[in-house]
Amino acid sequence: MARSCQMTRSFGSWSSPLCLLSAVAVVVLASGCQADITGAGSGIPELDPTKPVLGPNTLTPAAQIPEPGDWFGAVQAADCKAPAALGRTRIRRLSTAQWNNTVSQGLAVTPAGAAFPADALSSTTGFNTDAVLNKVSVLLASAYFDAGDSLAPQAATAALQAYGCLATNAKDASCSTPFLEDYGARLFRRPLNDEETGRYGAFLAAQAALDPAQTAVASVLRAMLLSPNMIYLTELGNSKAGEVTLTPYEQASLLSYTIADVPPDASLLQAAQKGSLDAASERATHAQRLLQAPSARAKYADFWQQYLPLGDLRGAAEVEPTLAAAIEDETTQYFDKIVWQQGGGFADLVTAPYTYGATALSAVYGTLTPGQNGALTLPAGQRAGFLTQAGFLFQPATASVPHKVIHRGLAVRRRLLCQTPPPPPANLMPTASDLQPLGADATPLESFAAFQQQKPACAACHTAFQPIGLAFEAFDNMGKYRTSYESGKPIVTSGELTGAGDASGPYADAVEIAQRIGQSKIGEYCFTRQYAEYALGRHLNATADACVIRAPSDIAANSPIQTLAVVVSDIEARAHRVHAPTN
Amino acid sequence: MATMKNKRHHVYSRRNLLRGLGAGAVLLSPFVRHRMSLAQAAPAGNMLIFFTPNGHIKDHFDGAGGSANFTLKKSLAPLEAFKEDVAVIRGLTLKTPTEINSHDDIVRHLTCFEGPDKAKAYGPSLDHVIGNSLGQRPIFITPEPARHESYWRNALSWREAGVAEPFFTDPTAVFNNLFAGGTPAMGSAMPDPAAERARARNKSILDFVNADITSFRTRINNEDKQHLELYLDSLRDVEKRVTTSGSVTGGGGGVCAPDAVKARIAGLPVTPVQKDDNSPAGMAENLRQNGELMTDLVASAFACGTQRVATILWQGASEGLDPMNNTGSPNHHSISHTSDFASWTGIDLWYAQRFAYTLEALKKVNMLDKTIVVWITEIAQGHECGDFVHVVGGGQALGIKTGQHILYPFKGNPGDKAVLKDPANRSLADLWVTVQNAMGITSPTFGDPKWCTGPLSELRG
Repeated sequence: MARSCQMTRSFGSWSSPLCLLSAVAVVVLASGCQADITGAGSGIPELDPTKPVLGPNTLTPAAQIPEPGDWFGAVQAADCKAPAALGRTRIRRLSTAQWNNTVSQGLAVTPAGAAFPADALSSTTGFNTDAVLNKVSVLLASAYFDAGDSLAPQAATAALQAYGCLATNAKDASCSTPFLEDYGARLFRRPLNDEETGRYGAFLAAQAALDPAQTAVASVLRAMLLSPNMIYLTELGNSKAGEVTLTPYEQASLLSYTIADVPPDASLLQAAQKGSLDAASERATHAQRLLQAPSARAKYADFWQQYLPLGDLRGAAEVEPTLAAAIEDETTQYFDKIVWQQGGGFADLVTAPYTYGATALSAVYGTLTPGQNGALTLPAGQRAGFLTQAGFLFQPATASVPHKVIHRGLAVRRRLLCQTPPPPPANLMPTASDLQPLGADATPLESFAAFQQQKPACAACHTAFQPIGLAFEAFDNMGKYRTSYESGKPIVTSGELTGAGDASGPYADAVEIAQRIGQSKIGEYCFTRQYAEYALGRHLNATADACVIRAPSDIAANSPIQTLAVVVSDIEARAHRVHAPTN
Repeated sequence: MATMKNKRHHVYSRRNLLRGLGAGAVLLSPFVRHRMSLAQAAPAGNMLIFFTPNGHIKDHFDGAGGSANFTLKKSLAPLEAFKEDVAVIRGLTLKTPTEINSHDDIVRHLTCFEGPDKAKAYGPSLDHVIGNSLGQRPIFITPEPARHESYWRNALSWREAGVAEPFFTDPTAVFNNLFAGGTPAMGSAMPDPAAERARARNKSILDFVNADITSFRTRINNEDKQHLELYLDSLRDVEKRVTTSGSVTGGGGGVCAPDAVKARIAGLPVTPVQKDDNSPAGMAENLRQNGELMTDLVASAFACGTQRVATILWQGASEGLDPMNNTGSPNHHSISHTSDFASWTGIDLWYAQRFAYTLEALKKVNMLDKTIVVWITEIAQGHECGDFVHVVGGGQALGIKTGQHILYPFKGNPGDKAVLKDPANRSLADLWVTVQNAMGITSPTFGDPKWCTGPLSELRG
């Protein structure tokens, strides 16, 4: 039963272990410097607006380009001297955070924690931001309607104060136009065109003939909140068929929503109006400002939470609630401090020999030595980065030994190397006894050796991830370090990482696995790729999007994680797209 | 919106509309299908899909004896009192599984189309196909959010290719949706001018937004037009809710008394958030209470005629708590891959009790014979998509022949994808053809016509 064991990128059906990546905290005692992450001299290739990226015969949307078998090889081989063309034009529905930020910034009202339905996790990327998937369901449309109904009256009161003539003269265009232009631009993130102003003006006049002014103005705002111009981000350019570039206003929105989930502020809209976003230095200035917004930090935190969910740890009966909370807090703090305090990069995240958080963590890690900036140094030689932290390692007491080994190994392949082995076919699904052919007393290593012999068809795929999981046997279900099993048998953690690009090679233990991956290009590219998929809401094709995946690493090895949002959004904002409208 | 509605009616003749149903309907935009449905003259039946995850131990979850000596095996013992109201069908096959035949096939089970993305359906699911034909949105409910909310594990109900509607979990929201147009008791004799103006205002806003969407639509890439079609279609449901007067005409022909069921919502215990494999004690009891309340709400809506198609997903695919041992998700899934057959059979038995409750709930409101209830699961046993066991309850007034075991002999290894496609093995899509026929859709195919051979004459004819 020969079955191809080519690893693909998708998140989906591996029995149960999928989501368990849990995470955590490390840190880098780095300098705390904020690198110059964008702008002139940043290394991001500039686009010559006079030269088309795509020839007349090359209008091939990226979505139609097949995913290469060796994704890392394809990214390495790409020629990134010229900016890559992206796929087709598109629209993207605002996320809940983006909708809330847009409404609170645009109308100066606070949405009451909108009860919007959760967005689905993409089976391809594992994130909930997929632009194709995220549509307006019946539940969401209903929530939009109700939210508008609830928020618009308050906003209308403020509008009437700002535009006093509306109280008595709303039907007159000379009165209504300034109001419509102002509020339209706030919610649509661009100036209204004349046709729109006329249409909204006529609607306001009609409503004002039937309702009090405040109600009529609220009706206009409710209509604006339900408009596709509000709900969708556009990447359409001038909407003419063929190759297009984004309008300056679309560029402004792309930068601000990608970096910080917020609509472009007045300064960014003004830059769009002046056409100054063509200049890299101007974009860099805005990007740096956006990065300072609390919502930028919140967005990174959301990425991290989706990258390493901690679902299995919360409330686990065998973990003291205070310790579980400490581990969860460690996960959050670790990423936050690496990114924002240390200005750290992927290597720091994966290899730091220290963590952050409460001293209660010593229940798992042993002696923790306080270091600089609140860091806690871990016992020497036992741990490196988030792969060896309790959040990532934790497995419920009920998890079988093979489950734990497989889960941890798969997690490394999937999240750290962007390689996902196919799930077992129906007629090859190994049973618990297949995975432990020598019985429960055998060590996991002995079990695996026997499993390989007895089920060679299964082993064809399991050899890609199960040995990695065996190296993590140095940590028990709780993540505590150990060198032998209760039976007294020693734990063998050495092996060789194969098929892992420049991270391939022998290792003595899990720490060396982390170091190999942390210092590799494949690890960096994989991390950038996943961040970009999250932030841009689309699957990145290793051929078509190779230069996006590579960009931060091409600028500098182990470039700060902060740079990812800026570099990725900058390339995306300037890229050419194929527009193919039909009636 | 009224303009578009009228226009559609002029464009599509009744003959064309009927012809468009079935596979052809997939190719049309959602609102076209929605409009089409209004031309249907369907019998007054209802359909309820009852989903439980992870397959069954078929040695015990089955029946025997044809119709003359119909018996139920031990996992279905709770249905003994309803033996004359159920048909147990053994041997149907999902002809369109994913590459791997696995839990992911939850997306295929009610859609029966093939496609490369295992987490995506390539056509509408049965509930939406029937809902469209009735001019009514089906409702999709889960009594307790699964661990992976909005993930493929719950992606059973598909509005159309690639578009899975989220489910309802809040009983109040379920009630409001089921009775969106109001219940008979809610009709008011006295007109309320302020309320009438509010409804008219809502309609004006939605009409304006409709025009805005139409204008916006001309600018975008063809591949994104589905976004706007779905948005428009969703707004149509909103319009129904915010512009109707709260009075209902007609009825489902049953005992319509939803207020008593609604009153139970307040008494429900707060569902604990599921945290791990060892969830708090009482979780299974919560699931039971929530699920039975949802079931009663649906039965009530059927009886009142305010809803005719519903899907209840008790737990998501490839996960699920173990109600017999009162342990959390994904223990049901874990058990299904061990040799702990006693626990697995216990879980099947627990769900059979819920199925019996469902039949009883429908009977109480005089709707069982007018409602087809189908118990489905994403995989038959292990990871196999062949040789399923399905239980069909009720629907006698719609031609369903209950009180029997129907056996379609399965040839080959049900885990082998090639064997699944063997014409000797009867297609699951034929069950859906049978159900849709009973619900008034005359098309002889469902999903990809390639995998249909016609309705199951043993079940209905």
